[in-house]
Amino acid sequence: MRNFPITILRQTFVIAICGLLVSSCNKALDILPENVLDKSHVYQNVQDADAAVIGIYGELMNIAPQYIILNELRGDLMAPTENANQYLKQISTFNVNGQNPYSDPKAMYKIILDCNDALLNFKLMLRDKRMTQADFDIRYSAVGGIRSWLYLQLGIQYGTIAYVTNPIENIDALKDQKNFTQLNFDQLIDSLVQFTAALPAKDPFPAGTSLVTSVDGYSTDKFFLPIRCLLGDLYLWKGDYIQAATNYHVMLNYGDILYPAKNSEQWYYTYKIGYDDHTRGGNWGNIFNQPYGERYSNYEIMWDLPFDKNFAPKNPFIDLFYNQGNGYQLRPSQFAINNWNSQTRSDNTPGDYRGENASWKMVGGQPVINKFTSNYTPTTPFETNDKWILYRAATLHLHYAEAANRAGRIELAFAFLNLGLRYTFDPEHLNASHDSRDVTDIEQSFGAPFDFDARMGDFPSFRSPWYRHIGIRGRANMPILVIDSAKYFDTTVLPRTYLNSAAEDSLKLYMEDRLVESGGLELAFEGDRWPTLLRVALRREKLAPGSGVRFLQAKIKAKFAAEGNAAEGAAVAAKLANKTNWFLPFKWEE
Amino acid sequence: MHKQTKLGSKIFITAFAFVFLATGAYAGNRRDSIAVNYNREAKMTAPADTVFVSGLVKDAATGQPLVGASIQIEGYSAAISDNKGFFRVGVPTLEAVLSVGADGFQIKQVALKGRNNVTILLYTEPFGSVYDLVNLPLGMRPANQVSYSAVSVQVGDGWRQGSKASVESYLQGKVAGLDVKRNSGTPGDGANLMLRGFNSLYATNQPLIVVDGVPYDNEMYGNNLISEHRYNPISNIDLKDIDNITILKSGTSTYGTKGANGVILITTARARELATRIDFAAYAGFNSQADNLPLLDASGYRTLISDIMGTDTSLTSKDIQRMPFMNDDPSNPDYFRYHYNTNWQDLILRNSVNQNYYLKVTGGDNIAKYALSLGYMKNDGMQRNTDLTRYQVRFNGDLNLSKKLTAAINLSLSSNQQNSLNQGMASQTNPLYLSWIKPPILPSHVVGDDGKVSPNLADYDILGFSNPVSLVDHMQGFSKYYRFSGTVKFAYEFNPSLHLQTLVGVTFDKAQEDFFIPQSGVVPDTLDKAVAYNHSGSNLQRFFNLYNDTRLNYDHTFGGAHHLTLNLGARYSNYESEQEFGKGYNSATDEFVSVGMGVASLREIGGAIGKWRWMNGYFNADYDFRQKYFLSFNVAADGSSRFGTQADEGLKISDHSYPVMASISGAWLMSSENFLANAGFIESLKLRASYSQSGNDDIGNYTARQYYISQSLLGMQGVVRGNIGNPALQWEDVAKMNLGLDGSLFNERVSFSLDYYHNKTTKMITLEPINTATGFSYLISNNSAMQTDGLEFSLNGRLIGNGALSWDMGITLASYKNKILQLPGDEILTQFVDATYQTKVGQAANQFYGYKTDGIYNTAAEAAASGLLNVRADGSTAAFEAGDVRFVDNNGDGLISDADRQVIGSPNPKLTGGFSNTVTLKRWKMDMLFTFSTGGDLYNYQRARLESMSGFENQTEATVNRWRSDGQVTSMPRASWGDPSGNARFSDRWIEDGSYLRLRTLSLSYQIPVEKSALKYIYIYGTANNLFTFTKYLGYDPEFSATRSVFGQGVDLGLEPLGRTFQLGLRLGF
Repeated sequence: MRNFPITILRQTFVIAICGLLVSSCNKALDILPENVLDKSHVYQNVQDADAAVIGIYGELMNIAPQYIILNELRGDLMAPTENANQYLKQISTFNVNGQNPYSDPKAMYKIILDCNDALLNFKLMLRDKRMTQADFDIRYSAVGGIRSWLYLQLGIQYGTIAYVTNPIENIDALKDQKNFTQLNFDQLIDSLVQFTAALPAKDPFPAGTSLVTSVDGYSTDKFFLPIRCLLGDLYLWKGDYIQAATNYHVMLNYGDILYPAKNSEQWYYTYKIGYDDHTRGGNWGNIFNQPYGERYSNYEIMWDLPFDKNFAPKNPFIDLFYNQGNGYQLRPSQFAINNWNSQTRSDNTPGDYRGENASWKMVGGQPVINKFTSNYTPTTPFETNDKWILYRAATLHLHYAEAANRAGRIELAFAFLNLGLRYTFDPEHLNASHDSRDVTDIEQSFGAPFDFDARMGDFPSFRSPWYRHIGIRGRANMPILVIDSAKYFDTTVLPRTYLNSAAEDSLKLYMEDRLVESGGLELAFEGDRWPTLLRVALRREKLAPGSGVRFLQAKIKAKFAAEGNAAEGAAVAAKLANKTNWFLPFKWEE
Repeated sequence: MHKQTKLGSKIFITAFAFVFLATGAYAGNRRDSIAVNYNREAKMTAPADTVFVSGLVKDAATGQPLVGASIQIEGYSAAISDNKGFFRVGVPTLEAVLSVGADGFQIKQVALKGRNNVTILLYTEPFGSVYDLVNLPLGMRPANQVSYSAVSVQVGDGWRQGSKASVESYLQGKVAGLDVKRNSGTPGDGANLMLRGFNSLYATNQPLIVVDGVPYDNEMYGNNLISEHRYNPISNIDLKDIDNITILKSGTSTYGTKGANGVILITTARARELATRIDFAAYAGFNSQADNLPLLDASGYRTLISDIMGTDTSLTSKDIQRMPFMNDDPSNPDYFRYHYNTNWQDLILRNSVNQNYYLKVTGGDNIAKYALSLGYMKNDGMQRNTDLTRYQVRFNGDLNLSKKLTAAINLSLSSNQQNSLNQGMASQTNPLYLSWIKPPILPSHVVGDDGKVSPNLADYDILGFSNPVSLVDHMQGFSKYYRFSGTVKFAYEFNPSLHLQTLVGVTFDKAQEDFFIPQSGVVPDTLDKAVAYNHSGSNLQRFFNLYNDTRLNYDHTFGGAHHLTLNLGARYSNYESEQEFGKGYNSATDEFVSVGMGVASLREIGGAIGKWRWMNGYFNADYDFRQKYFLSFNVAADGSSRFGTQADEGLKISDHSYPVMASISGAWLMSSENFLANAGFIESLKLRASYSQSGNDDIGNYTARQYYISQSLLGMQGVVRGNIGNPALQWEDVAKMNLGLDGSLFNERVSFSLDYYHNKTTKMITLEPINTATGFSYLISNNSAMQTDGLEFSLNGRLIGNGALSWDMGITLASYKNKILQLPGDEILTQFVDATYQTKVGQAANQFYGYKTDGIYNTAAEAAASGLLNVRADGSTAAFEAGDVRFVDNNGDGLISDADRQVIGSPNPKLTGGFSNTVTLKRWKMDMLFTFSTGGDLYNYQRARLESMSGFENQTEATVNRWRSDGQVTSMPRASWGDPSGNARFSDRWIEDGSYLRLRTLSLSYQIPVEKSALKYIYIYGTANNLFTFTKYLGYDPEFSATRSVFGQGVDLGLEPLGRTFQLGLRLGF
């Protein structure tokens, strides 16, 4: 009887000790969340790796408005409306304060954090054999590429930024300043070039990759960043025009890889601007208003993401661009409208097929931006499907031309901008549909990365890859931009030689100006404008201090002058005299 | 903290060893010495060499001697008073304390203080006495021996309160320092409890509620579909089932990281005697309609909107004249439709009824005792078609399984059905709000061109307002909730000093909502994908808890002088919560109200799952010497699945941190000292001090972990980082210092209690702004601190006390001051509806932060002379005009902008309390309770919406005095379309003094004389609640609580107000 309580006591003692001290209790306290994924449940296999890539691209869609606003509203083609909130107005007048939500880099850094997280974990997956080398190469490059693209965006907007490559997994990493190295824009471009060039798989995903699939009626093959284009752009920013052209060249000829039979319409048109009637002249707007995945506009498009009415995010551009309700915050600048309206087409009719009713339209007496919202009508307010085009053949052409021009291949740039290779590299500029001449040494350019074969011959019939090429202006039914050869060349001798040593440089400048102008007509509102202006300005400023400032000031002044607000234009231009004001203030903390 | 950690662990081990040895040594000690059991006959014989004390026991009320009173010295000797009330008892020393008690009378401790002859007065039970037993987490103690700040409320008057009183509202005004703010007048809506102010900004500030030893989870998991609808689990406990409530304001360390906000211990009623007793009560009552807000009538409204439309530059005067409601030609087909004078409030509000039936059976035998109660309640709401019905059953059983082993079983089940309506911010579907703003010129029903009224309700109007009558009639806001809790407690007595007990509790809770907003009469809503004409919703919330508390208790008195109590135990709690909801839109007709009937492509589903565990090992040692000097030590170590693995503090065991919370307290019962032997007017005087550590574990279930969330790309689910993990995330620490003085004078006719406390929260959770380059805005971290200092006073007096008439009066007063000590970034601004709060280092948390005003510009010249410019939302500036509010340019930059905001009020009251009276005259008994709150400011958001004069909404009568012509002297600004000058912005115009004094409860009972028969007694009750309120507050009622969050206090969303209720009751006892 006396032992009984003691036995119980002993047991109690043991239980009590268990209850407090034994490590099994520690286990009882490890409860993993069920409505979110714990760290231990991700990156187990290649599907998890795909989920990381999908998550990153899902987030990317959320920054669409910010991307467009920062890259266009700071340029000369887009302007805030009366409805615009003060933050949009600030951006347009280069007068941004710390509270401006559009200038907050946080959303981009969130995606960068997810990229960093994926990059680190992909490496661990490879190390632990949770992923094959081939699968790793594709996904690591995809994520690394988009991270570089985001950093390029940050660099363009803020100049000096924090270059974070650590996935900041905990508070210690957060407090460690080493993880937040500050780089200026040149250092950033160097780092990005180095990192991006070293990615193991820079070409688009090969067929059979699990990320290339069809979802909700959309093929995903154009969802993802073309890394070669980014790399070309990075080299272009850096000023390494040969490397830029080399990378662009791969993509310009990527039809060869997609269509190895090399005899189809797709092969002739993919990423080569050809005389395809579906996107030419008055049909140019089809590039934007055709549904996602439509055949002909898809030859042109290299990277786009669909806004679907059934999925978030809802097309954000309707509220920004369309004049209804509380929307209509942004509109085409009067300068942009004037620019299109003052063009003359090759048939001598006034205007530009890329202007009214293509890039913009009049709705209720107000000019409305028509890109990314071209299918929207207030009568069916919930039909908001559209596509966000981030990179297309015209972008590639203009960037390649910019590189070629600076690399001294001015004629090639001329060809891309105007009526195409076959026309330009034909001394007789016949552009005949059937040609029985000997074209062995004409209708093509030579020397990698500037070699393109546009030859066409009959008897025997011969069609080389680029024979349908018609150039940016050619496709829009615009006449050739004539260069006054006498200003630059000694026209008395053949082959042509420059008048003097300065002639080549001034021709390059002339050509570059024309490229910038044409970029405004072709790529307006797509997010290419401010980067192009900034790149050219920075380049010129480096070559001849003061010229970059003047270039940028002229562009912005012209915009405000066309709005009838020259005084404000002068004030903004005065701000732009200081190079640091070309960039937004970087908001370090909330 | 590290030192304490080590100390804590050492104490644990030492305590184990000590208990083990002590038990062995005293296992043979068979003396009965349970302090609380006086029915047990004393068996001791006095040792030969004792000192003897003689005395007289009398009835305090009548002065008659008491026969058969028991007098004893614990563990030493005992005696019984003779037929003249005299007794003689042996004592070990004249320093000893006598325990004196008699059947039907209180039990009292009488310190001899050197005297050998004492006269003892006993009061009849119940009597609020310093000798009453207080229920503490680890056992019972007489109040005058408690060294912590604890208040015990004997719920003797539960029957008299009627069915309108829930546990938390019953406590209002009764306990100094417990600020009870009832949420709204919606039946069953509960109250916001704050014990000694607040201790946290982002974690909970609700005290821990423990019912019969099991923590009662009073949270809601997930959001409700019905706007501002709340499920309040604690309302499942009927007040009539409650015996005692103890509010523990300090010394809560034993509950570790759950004790930061104090503890409310609720003990439900058990059978007291073996005889079978049956009680039946029926109540019926009347809830009076809330007073209507004074709004404009049709003609006032028409004048107002023509003024407002006149300021809309897009309208010409012709446009205005063309408006159908501006037409005064009876031949116009629209004439009749727009010429009503409808009082919308009368159409949806009403007088209503309430009823309650309750049956209780208690009884048993030597082996088993039981108490069974059944209840039914139905309470109609003040808006038509709202009500709450509740069924409940409770069974409390006590079993003597063997001489040593006892068991106690508590089972309770309740089921509620409630019909409610949207309230608060749902402006187009909240009938109460719509009844204010809906233009009075409009009819509730369809009206033909000829003026004939159709039986059909009118659709929403051309001005864009829903028909509130349609919502009241056709909205479905039905919710059902169930709660089951069951506990079994086994107690084993090894010997009279050593006990082992274990308690297992299970709680299951389920709440379900069925929701439907009809198309008819309601403005359609625009979704991303479609226009929503009707909405349906279904919501399910589940909660499950398994709880165990096992402890070993040792209680012994050594040599009649040294009393030692030791407890060692462990608690374990496993929680699971879950929410699932679905929303549907556009079912074919308003008759199809379920989610499945909606358009498939618009359906939305969602939910949440939470799981967490809490473990707690605790040790307690209480020691007293001659019931004069008291020392108490508590320590607990917590384990929780919520804590980060790298918490700074706490005891580290492998990769987990176990916070160790300790408290120590001491009390000195000065009145038992010899030097006060001659101060006869002092019954009891006790000085006490305590220091306790406790914590708050409400830091989110998974916040400390690094996790990933889903991010879709079209229909593909991707995964992205959800946070930056903070493995250092830990509990909040709350240290409480308390000094108190408890006294009882003039033979317990007057008693008082005075407390000063200082609570300091460190490691307080805040959202710490982090580097933008992380991609996140905030990190949830423990890096702020605040403190609260307070004073509390309570006084109880028996003003009159003789056999037939007695009058007891009580007053409670409490005041506290809060101060933020540390915050990342020194300041946080938070938003709740239109209100902004500033929380800044050096000042109290949650101060209203807005614009100061200084009247209005009566003339254009004044406006121009000010030179001030108003900064609008789009960044543009505009000058103020005549009739605009004169905002104070705080920073003097000539612009009225966000930078001019300043502190314009504080929702924290300065003084709260209650004033109670109980008068008994023969068979009559009257209770009267006043409650008050002073010094707190309220943001009258409903008035802000009803005096903004910027749209077609109907407004209050006060807007008649609006500024209309240059030079007009008034304080009401001009009416202007869209309010371009921001006259209605968050400013001190809407901040009002929320002080009030209210006759909270008035109840009267009469016991009808009955012949001795099967029917033992009949009581008749009459109860009135909220009978009158003195306040300057212009809104419905100064008492409301829209949220439990600190950053939402004092904002009046215009919820259903607390109305007056009257109830009659009848109780039969068999």
